[in-house]
Amino acid sequence: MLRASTEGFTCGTRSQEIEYPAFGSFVQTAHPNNDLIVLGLITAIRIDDDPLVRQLIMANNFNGNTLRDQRENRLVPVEIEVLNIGYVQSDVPYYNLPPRPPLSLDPVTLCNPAEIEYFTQSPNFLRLILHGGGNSTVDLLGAAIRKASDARAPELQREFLVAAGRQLAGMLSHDLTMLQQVLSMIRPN
Amino acid sequence: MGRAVAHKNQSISERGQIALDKLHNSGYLGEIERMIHLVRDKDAGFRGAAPHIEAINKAYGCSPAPEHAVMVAVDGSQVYPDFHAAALYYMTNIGIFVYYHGGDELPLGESDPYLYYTDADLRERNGHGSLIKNTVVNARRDVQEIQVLARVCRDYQDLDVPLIGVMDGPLLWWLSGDVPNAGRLIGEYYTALENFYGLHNQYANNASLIGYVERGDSRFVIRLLHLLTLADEDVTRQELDNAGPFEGLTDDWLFARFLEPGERSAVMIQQSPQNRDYKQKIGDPFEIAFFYLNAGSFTNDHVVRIEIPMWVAQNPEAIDQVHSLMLDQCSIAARYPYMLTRAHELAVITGLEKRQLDDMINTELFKNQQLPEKSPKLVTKEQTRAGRKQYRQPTP
Repeated sequence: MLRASTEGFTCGTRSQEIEYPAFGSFVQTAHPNNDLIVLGLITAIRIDDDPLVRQLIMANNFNGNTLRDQRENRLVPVEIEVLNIGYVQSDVPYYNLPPRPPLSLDPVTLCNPAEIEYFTQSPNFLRLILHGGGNSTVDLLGAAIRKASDARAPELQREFLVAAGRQLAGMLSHDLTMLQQVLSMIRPN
Repeated sequence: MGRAVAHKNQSISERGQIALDKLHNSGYLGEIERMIHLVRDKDAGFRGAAPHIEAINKAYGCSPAPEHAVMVAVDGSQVYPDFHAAALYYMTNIGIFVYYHGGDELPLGESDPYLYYTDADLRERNGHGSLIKNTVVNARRDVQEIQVLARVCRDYQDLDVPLIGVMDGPLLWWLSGDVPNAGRLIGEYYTALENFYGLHNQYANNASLIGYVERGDSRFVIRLLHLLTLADEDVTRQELDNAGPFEGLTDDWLFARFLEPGERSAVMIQQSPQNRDYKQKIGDPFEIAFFYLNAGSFTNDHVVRIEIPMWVAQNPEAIDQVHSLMLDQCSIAARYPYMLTRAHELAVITGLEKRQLDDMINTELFKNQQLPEKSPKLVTKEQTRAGRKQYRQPTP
């Protein structure tokens, strides 16, 4: 955890450790001394450059050694932006902004399928995505609903997608264009 | 100023062409050696280059690089002692970077920090004199660099591939008189050189040591060309005090026009009392030789000086290895060895790290019932450096 507010947070990692986090993934962070677990969605992954990386690109002659050195030895900063979509306190999920932000250096982990299924048992988790997704709202809604669906057993996935679509239809009744775009992304196979 | 610079450059260009012609025509080693012996016999204070074995009017192309090699680079940085800080200390940090040429093995990067805080470290005359000068810190750091290099290279003594230790700066190291205990420091430097040579003697392949010197304004070859223009009776200390008709030219200028990209000059030996000391006090293998290398491209020449001890200079295979591997390093990023860039990055102590170190020291002082207190002068300086907010009239 690098920076945080009640609306979201930014966490950092090494460049070779970004194999698993993906846009729209569910993540969670919890301070060891309290029972507040903040849940969020990855909204952006940024890899900053630096002058040496720019030189290597210009020279266009780097090899396996230098590539590994850059990725594994140097602290190439990777920043992951997260949008808060709710929290869990005393084992109860809440679909509101958390009462307080996570703290600096708190570990951030990807949610496992059971945790995703537990938190997305109510389609209310879509509300904060819709309000906080910014320019990527459509893609973020699509990715989050797909990942929540994938976290379920195959026989439950269609039911979940239909329920999510119904919830969106109510929430996006004023914006049919956006509704159509999201529905096309989550249409069951 | 523009006219003056243009006039100077035009003058240099004309005299430079004469110097280039002289270099092209200096193919007879016997005559050059005769002049070198003459200037030594006359003790005329010659500070130029002397040829080693190769003809100086030739450029030498690059052989293929060895398939595998281990290259170790070191660089150092420091925090100088500050009388106004809460605690009196100085710090050195040596960056170490090991590059395994010819494979995909992950390079090794480490830093080796040293914190000095006792009076014996910080004060002259074994802890009883005034605070040491920054030049002393620099000198101690330089010695640490070569000591660390020799120590790290020894970790690879069981290999059978070329091993190259790279220093950032000249190998021919000496100290001015204002550094206390200069003799001891120079002795430690000599010992580190001997340790490296000992490694070379035990090593199954070549263990080469080099000093990489960039943007030098050296005139060793220019001075040699000047010497070669003189008649025997004109070889005097007064005449050799400058570069004569070639004054204002540098070896960089000359070899940027003499060497094609990737080529090196002949190996030569710098003539100086310091280099003579290296040879006489440690031994023949430790006299420092050098060659120029054009590490640039066809659109952008870039001449650097590579210094090597005589044990490398006398081994054509080792010279070829140094030549090809340093070119390879310079091709990775911006015509400067990648390994030295990384060693520097590992060594440098940033302002943020310095503040973190000060915080850690202050914490320790608190733990030991000491109140850390900066001098009012330092506090004021930090406040003025913090930047000012400007209150401006809004633009209509």
